[in-house]
Amino acid sequence: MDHQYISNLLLAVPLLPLFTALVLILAPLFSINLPKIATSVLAVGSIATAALCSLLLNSQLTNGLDANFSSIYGNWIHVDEFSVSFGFYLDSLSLVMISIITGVGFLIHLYSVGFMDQDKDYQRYFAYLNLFVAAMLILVLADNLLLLFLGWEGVGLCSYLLIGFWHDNTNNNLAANKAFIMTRIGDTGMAIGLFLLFFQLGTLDIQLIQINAAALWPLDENNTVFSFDMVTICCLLLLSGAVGKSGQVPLQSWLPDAMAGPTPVSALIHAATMVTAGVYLIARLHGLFELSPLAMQCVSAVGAVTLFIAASAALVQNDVKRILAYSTISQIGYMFLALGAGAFSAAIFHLMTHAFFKALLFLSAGALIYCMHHEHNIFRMGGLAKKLPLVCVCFFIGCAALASLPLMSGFFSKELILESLLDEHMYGYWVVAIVGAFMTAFYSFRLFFVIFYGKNNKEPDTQPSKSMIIPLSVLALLALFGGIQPQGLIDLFTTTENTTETHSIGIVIFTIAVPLCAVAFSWFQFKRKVFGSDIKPGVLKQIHKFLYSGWAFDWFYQRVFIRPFIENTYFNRNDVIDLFYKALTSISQWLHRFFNQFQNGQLRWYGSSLVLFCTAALTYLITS
Amino acid sequence: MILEQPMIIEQIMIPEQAMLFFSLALFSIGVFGVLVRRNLLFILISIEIMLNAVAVLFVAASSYHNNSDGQIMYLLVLTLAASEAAVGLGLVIQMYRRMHTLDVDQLSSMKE
Repeated sequence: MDHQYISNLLLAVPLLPLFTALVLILAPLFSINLPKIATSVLAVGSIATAALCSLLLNSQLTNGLDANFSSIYGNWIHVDEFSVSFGFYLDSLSLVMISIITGVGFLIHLYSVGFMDQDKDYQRYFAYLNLFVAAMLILVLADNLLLLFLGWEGVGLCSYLLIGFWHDNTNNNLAANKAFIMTRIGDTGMAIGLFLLFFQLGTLDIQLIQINAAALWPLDENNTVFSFDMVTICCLLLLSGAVGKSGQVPLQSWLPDAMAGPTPVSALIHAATMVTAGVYLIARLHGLFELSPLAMQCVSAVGAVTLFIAASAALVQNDVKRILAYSTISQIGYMFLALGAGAFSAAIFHLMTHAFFKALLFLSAGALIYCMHHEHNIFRMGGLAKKLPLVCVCFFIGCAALASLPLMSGFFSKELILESLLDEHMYGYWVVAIVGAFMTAFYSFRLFFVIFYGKNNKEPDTQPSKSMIIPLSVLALLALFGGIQPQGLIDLFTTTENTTETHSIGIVIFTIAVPLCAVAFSWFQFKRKVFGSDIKPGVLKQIHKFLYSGWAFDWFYQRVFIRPFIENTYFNRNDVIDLFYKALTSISQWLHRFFNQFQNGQLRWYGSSLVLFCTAALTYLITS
Repeated sequence: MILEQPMIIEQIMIPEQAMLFFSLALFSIGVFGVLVRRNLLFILISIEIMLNAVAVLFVAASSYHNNSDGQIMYLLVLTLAASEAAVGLGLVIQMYRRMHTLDVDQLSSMKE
């Protein structure tokens, strides 16, 4: 098919949601009242069309045309040597991403129609959600880092707006602020990284950066894990942006609080798409990161630490959404671990399956919350297996995929990550990943057993509506059978990956057995009624409290950053620098008062001063 | 024919300095009156005094230079003073009718 056709198709993908978002935002400003049905049709229809476009693009690219396709639509900034274009770059990586974003995005939009049905701000919700999808698509399609950064900040903005969507509650606003500020810390590093890359390489084009970087900083024997050179600095700065956006240690504590937003938002933004932007960024710049062994080690280390901390914190939470949030952090930790090991395609594959099963889990949790009249605490649900059978089945599939039980989609991707860790001889990380897998299976089935087979003390008051059931079923099918790695991904990263060695059958059986053991252990503990029981005061209680607070990161930041900052501002509340300006104002005020005395409006005074001056002047002239 | 001897009037010579100081004193009194007096009528009269001080100076200068231009100038000033007094007094009367006061401090509206 001709170039122009694909180019137009590609442009349509992000512009359709952007257009409807603008319509939905601007309509109230011109006091046009869109009926509810029109809002739904516009919002869901645009994403559906975008999904259709990306499906067409899929067929175009897999029909054996080029492996990548780039199209430039115009100039954005052109100053001297600095030139940034509005250009999109499509290869199998961005193709997978746009398929996830539009596909899962469409299902979540459809689900939202049912979920947000009673909300008074229906139109605002869909406007933000569409804007988010547009920004996310720009992020993954951008062919230069500045356009990517535009999308990056766009999704951050939409995340902020949607976390604080129910802004009547102060806690929601605080959570939104926290998310915005903490990701901004990472973004600052990322922006500096962009400046540095441009300064060093003279371009922001993603493909050119990787070519130029490979030429400028060749990877040779001198480059060890301990060499700290320019490319490492660039990579670490970009990594800080990825860490902030993807909720990795040490900037992870915003994500559990971000669950204050509506549940479909948590599913779309804080599970399936936005938080994986960091993974995408590193995979997109894999040519740059591979030049720095130290940066790769840092990526792995961040991932390993995060997956352990988040998984252990998820063991003890009460709130269904918080458990899922911690599990998201932990799963993204797996992706980072895979990225650091150089297994980029495994990371993106896990990103894809994670998008399916985590969206499914969040949407099922949303259905639970919807039917249980806004109940979040899992210990107050209980015994819902018979009352909400469909949700139960979906939740089971989601949990099984999350726990990577055999033949689920999550199984294949996590298995691939574990294998690639062994291929790279990163045995320490492999142990952490196995422990993480055990904890993952344990907490996901703790969640499942407590909600669906626990002691029953609250009745569901409604059943999920039809527009919620359809996306749930589709996502359940995807979570079941979505474990097929796209061939294009393997092709894209083949040069960077070793040929997989065959591992001894014992290790394979061991990795399969670990989650199954965890599930059995979880069932055993559930039967002993350990979950939700009171813990005697003591060391165990302290540990529980420590884990419940997510390893006390909030407490730590409160002590180390926030409180000293507030104390400093209190100490300097009169602002030393202001003294200078205050002095300026008081001097001019004094002068004003002084001269104002002569401006008394009395003609006789003016006359007197005139006479006085004339006399004095004449006297001077005559006598001199 | 008896030619009458013309009567020689002995001219009394007034020193120039005295005339200057007289004019200066008169002018100062006028200025002082304009500045100090509150009543509009008195201010008008003080202006007349200043005009006359200048007129006296013209006459003095004319006699000092033996030139009659100064005296002609005096006639001009005299007519000016007369018309000014007529117009000024008319205005003052109007002012009093409207404002019921001639106090300049109360009439001042410059700072409002």
